Amino acid sequence: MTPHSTTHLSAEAFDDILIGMGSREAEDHLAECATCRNKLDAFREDMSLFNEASLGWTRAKMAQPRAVSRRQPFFVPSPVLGLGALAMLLIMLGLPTVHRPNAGGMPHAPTVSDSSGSAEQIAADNQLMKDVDAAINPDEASVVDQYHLMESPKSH
Amino acid sequence: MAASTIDALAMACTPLPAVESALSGRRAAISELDDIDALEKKHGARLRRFVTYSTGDPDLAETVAQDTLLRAYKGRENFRGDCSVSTWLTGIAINITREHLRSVRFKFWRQVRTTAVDVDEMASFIPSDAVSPERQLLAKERVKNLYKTLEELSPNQRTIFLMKFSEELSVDEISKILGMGANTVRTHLHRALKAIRARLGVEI
Repeated sequence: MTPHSTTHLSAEAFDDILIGMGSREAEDHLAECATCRNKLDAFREDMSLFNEASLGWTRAKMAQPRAVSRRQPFFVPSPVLGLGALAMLLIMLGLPTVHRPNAGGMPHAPTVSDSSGSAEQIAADNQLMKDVDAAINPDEASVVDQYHLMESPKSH
Repeated sequence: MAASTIDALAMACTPLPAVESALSGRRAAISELDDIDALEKKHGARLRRFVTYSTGDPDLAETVAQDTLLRAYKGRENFRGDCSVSTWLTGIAINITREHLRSVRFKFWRQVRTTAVDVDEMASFIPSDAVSPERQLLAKERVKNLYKTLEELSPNQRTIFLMKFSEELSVDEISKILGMGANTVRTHLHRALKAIRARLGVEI
């Protein structure tokens, strides 16, 4: 407290100054009162340290992948080899579906549920997705609800 | 980004009093926007920091920063020069972040990739010459507490707080970029500061 002031700035007055809308009286008091000035400086110093540390951390993170990408890769696949590998992958994924025995039933188009397991598993997965969705953003409408993903599939 | 969005962001910039000043600012800024590598070098880290600490997701920050610079570069003719390039980029970054947060794909990947800010690691980046060694530990604790408080704020409060105290934008600039009333911005700032005061025990 200074000889010129009897009371220090209120919390609201400090906030107004920090936000940039401090009153003339508050600014005048600040100019006179070392105690209030120190409090304000303490916050500004914290913010300055946070800004410098967060920027330093971000720059370090940015540098990491670049350092890796500058390395000479151990193996550089050619486009032809890449296409070949993709074709092999597609064949491997497609074979079990093509050769799956269908015991006398009507041939049916492949659907998501064909490869997803039992109805119980699907229901459990849907519930998990709903929980995760709600946890990520509780204020937003669940995508699961929005698109009725939990509804039981209609029988054909 | 659609041209209309970029136009809206351009309109959000705070007008300068002199038209000539704005024109010369635009010329300099367009020159700056012509070099995407220079943009990355000058603004990349700052954009990543803003999105990282606004969303708590460094992976998202990387994506948003790249998209922001690319969209700014492609839409550089729409930049009117009546605000800084930095402010313009921040506005674009906010819009792209919103787009990502709305997308289902983001939510899916967010549950798969659970990277987060390592607050201890971040605090270790406090410049050693900024404070005395005796105060270094105390400073780290304060920075960590500040980050933890930011995490507890609502997304709007956190974003607005960072725009004000990290990006150093004015209330009017924040208001225009976010399409939010100036009084609402102030309210968010007051609440954020109150939460920080309570957490840090700062006598402000």
